[in-house]
Amino acid sequence: MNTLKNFNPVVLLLYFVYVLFISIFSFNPILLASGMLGAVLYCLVVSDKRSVIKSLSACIVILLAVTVTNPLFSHNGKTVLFFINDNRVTLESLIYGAVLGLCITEVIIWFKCFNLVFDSERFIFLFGKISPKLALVLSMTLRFVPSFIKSFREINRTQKLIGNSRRLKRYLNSFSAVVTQSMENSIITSDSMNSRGYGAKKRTFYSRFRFTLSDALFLIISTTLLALSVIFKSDFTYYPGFTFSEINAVSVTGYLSFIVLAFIPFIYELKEGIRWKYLISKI
Amino acid sequence: MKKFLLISILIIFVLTSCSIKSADDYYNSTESGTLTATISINCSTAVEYKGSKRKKAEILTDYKVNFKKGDTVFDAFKNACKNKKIQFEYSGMGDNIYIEGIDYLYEFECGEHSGWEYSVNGAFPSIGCNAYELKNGDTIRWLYTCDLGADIGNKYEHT
Repeated sequence: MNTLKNFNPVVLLLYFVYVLFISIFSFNPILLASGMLGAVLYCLVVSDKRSVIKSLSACIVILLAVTVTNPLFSHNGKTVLFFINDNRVTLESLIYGAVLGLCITEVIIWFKCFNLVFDSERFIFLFGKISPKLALVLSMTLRFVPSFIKSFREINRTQKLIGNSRRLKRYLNSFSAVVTQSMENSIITSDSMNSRGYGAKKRTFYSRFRFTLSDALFLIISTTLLALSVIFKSDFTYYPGFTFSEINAVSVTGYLSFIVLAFIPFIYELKEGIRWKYLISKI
Repeated sequence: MKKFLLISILIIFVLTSCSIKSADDYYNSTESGTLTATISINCSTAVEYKGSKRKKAEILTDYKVNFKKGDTVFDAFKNACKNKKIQFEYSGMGDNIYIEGIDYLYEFECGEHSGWEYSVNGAFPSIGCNAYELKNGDTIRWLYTCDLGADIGNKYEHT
């Protein structure tokens, strides 16, 4: 179940922009970790666990790689761990690398959430007004990649079954077959579009998205939380030594408002799930 | 199997080309040498720079450092920083060593034309610090500039 889809796409897009904006520009480990947690929990509730674990394990590899690489190239920092060729390897740059990795992986997970919410219909609704042609082309190309991979796998499997056992040759054969197939498909698509009169008149589309009261509420809440976390932001610097703004009522307000902002999709999904169970139990 | 062998050879090659030392070992090892040079490191331009948090201009003042015959400016600088436990970061290798930052003060921190330059006996050599061979009694000054050297007496002439 994905109840977040009920909201207006514009409001949802704004929400994702807010979250990504804060998590990228704050570069604060607490905010990054809470944003990551919110995104992962939402993915776990909405999509199947296997795909979440798959992308999380990829994220952990990226995180570790960035954490290990950063101290080898950046030698700033007060706490020396050891020396390589007269350059110091410091704790500060190790932590900085970890936070950088967290930042990258968080963006990846939030984009996964974005993909869970935005299908091609919402995409065309969002960008169709600005440029209908671009929206159409984008949605067609985005669809092309998975369908290309799918038909490649199918052809490759068939080739294997009919006894094409040499791996490289099989891949090459399947690839050329898939390219030929996709070219044929594109001709068919363009013929079909032509015969249905594409380009003859200005393109119109119907969208059933309206701006409702709950959309307004969602927009107001998320914008307020964004404003609060920007106004009460706390600084966090890494070089030469760690310094952060002291934890008081102001900074805690900033942190809490971002945490609530990041957890909105998860909380909403949970709330709707409980409501659904409750309504079923009454039948 | 082939891949594994290749990767292990690569790792061994990388490890042998690096010397890894603990902080204590690094700072306690002393370089011997009979020749001496005087080193100063100064960042007065960064202290004057608007918006800079830097308070102290002198990082090192007239420090006598020993070096061997054939050593470069970089070797003497390295020894001085090691003895006085001053942080620095360099990049590059061979003749092309570039000092990115000294004592947590890095290039580009005071505008896009800022960075470290060195002079020997008052003149600014336009070669890398690991390509300049030192003579006995030379005076090395490492100076921070905010304007491509114009504020420390080494105006950059575009040719």
